[in-house]
Amino acid sequence: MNDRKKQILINKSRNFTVGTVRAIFLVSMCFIILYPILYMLSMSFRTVDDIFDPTVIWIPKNFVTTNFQKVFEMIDYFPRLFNSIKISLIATIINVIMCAFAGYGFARFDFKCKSLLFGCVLFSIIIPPSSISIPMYMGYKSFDFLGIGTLIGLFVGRPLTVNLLNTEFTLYVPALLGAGIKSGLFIYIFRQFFRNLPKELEDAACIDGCSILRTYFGIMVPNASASFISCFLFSFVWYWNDYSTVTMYFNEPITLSASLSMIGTIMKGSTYAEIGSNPYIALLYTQCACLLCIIPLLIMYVFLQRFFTESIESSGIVG
Amino acid sequence: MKTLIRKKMSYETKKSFAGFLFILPWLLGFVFIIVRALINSAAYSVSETTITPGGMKLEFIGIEYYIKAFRSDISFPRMLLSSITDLIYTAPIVLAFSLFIAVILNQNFKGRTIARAIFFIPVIVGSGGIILSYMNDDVSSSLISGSRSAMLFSSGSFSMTTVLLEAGLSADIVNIISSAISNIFDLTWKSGLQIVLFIAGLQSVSSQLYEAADVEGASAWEKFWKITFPMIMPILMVNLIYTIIENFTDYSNEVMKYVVNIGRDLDFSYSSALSWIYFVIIGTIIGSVYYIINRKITYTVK
Repeated sequence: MNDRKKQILINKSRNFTVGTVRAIFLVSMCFIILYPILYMLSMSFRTVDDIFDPTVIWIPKNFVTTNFQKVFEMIDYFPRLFNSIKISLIATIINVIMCAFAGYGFARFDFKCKSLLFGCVLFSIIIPPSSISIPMYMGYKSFDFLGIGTLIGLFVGRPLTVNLLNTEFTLYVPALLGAGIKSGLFIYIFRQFFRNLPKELEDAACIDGCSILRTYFGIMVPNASASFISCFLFSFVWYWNDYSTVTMYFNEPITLSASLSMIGTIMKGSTYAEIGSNPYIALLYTQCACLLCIIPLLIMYVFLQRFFTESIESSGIVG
Repeated sequence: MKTLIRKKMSYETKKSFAGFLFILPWLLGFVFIIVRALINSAAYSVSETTITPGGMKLEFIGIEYYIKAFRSDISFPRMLLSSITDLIYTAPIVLAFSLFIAVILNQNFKGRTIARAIFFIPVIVGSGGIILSYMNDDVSSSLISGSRSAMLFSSGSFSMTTVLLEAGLSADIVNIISSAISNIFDLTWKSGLQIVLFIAGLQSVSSQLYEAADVEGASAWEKFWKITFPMIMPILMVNLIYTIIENFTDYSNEVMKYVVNIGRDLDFSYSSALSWIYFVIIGTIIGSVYYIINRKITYTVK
């Protein structure tokens, strides 16, 4: 009797210690992760004097919101926010749909050189973007519709080309053709998922008289909703955060991430020289701009957080 | 009999043709965008490029630029080597760290969803402008000394390092502490996606194995090494390859920045040659890692 009580007590105290240690560890980790965001929050509401005030660590003495207005005009916030949302959304939708097609094709059909082509998919993931950015720039400058333009040009005498630079099609066209941001990864995810679906589903659909397209849209796609959701979310975040393609193909940084990456040069410009010359003040505005650029993503994350973590588990990438 | 066989063949070909149609958009994109760009890039790297108003003029000069990359360039081989050794250090640490955190986050405790949500934030936020504006921006980097992790210890005029120094600790210990803490910071922000993948992998291990081990009287340590670890080997490999790719193609990588800067100075041929060397090296490393580890892991039969 005494022994059992002792055992229960030992178990309880052991659970309590493990729980406490784990809690302390996790809280410190979470602090590390949240630190930059809290820092940005704190800096955005300070006046310039508060930066130099040694008694101000987290909570500013003068709580001001004027920094936001300055940053709004410095990076032209609202039009670019709209641009970011529009570009990310459209490019993501196209990207996910096309990758799903390709993933289904690789998973369920056999055709010549299938493994070689899938090897090419994996190969396309590891290409460093800078190797092909300059030739792609030249390609977009005189885009000839995948060679059809040059063919027509053989007859007409002058190739039919279109200058796609400075339009959003530089982002949509590669997504349409399966060459968007990390598309190879999405094709791999979709292929894993479709492979794990039982073959009987397809056989049942075939017996019931479904054409191949109808099988795809009616049966495979609804089953793959977890994959679709997780790929959609990841693709949206990656397109939103991508500044390299925008700065390369556009004259002006039209999305938020691109503007943020160029904020150093903006601050050195003539209109904002009084900010750019003093590193402390520049830091203040940089932090404020960062915060404004992250807020849309964080808001979206707060609402869709459940889908992020849960859908990865059922998307089949780990199957 | 003959008509039956003929019907079956045409259905097979019909299906394989349909499969080909499904991957056709990707194939078009791969050939006409990626392969064409790669061929162009290879062409640039073996010729002298001059920019004329009509386009780019190329004169074939052979592998001169490749030789230049290794013989006369002082910084490229050094950066290449440091990038590879950096990978050898960071990849195992990142994987071990994220596995550790994933194991913790997989247990049942109150506030688990909030913890998971917070740990995923680096993936959402981290790949974007923050890193760039902290690292590359002259203005803020001169203040933060080039590393966002130093912010943990100095915000404006309050500095933890001075506090520790004043408290009597020697400068060496303070150095070790601050570098350890800044490493944890970088590590946590780099391992966002790996943690999520590991959590997903850990959940796919069936609990029957653990129950059987409990019945046999296995300790937690044995359970981890004999059950968990072998079962998540496939995920480990996916994670390892992803970590290597991310490390090599991340925009804050030294070699990438060097190549991009040379491209900005309009020396396209040299930049292309460097990219190709880098690309071949990455490809070899990833290929060899894949083949070496593939022998050793055990795939479970579905």
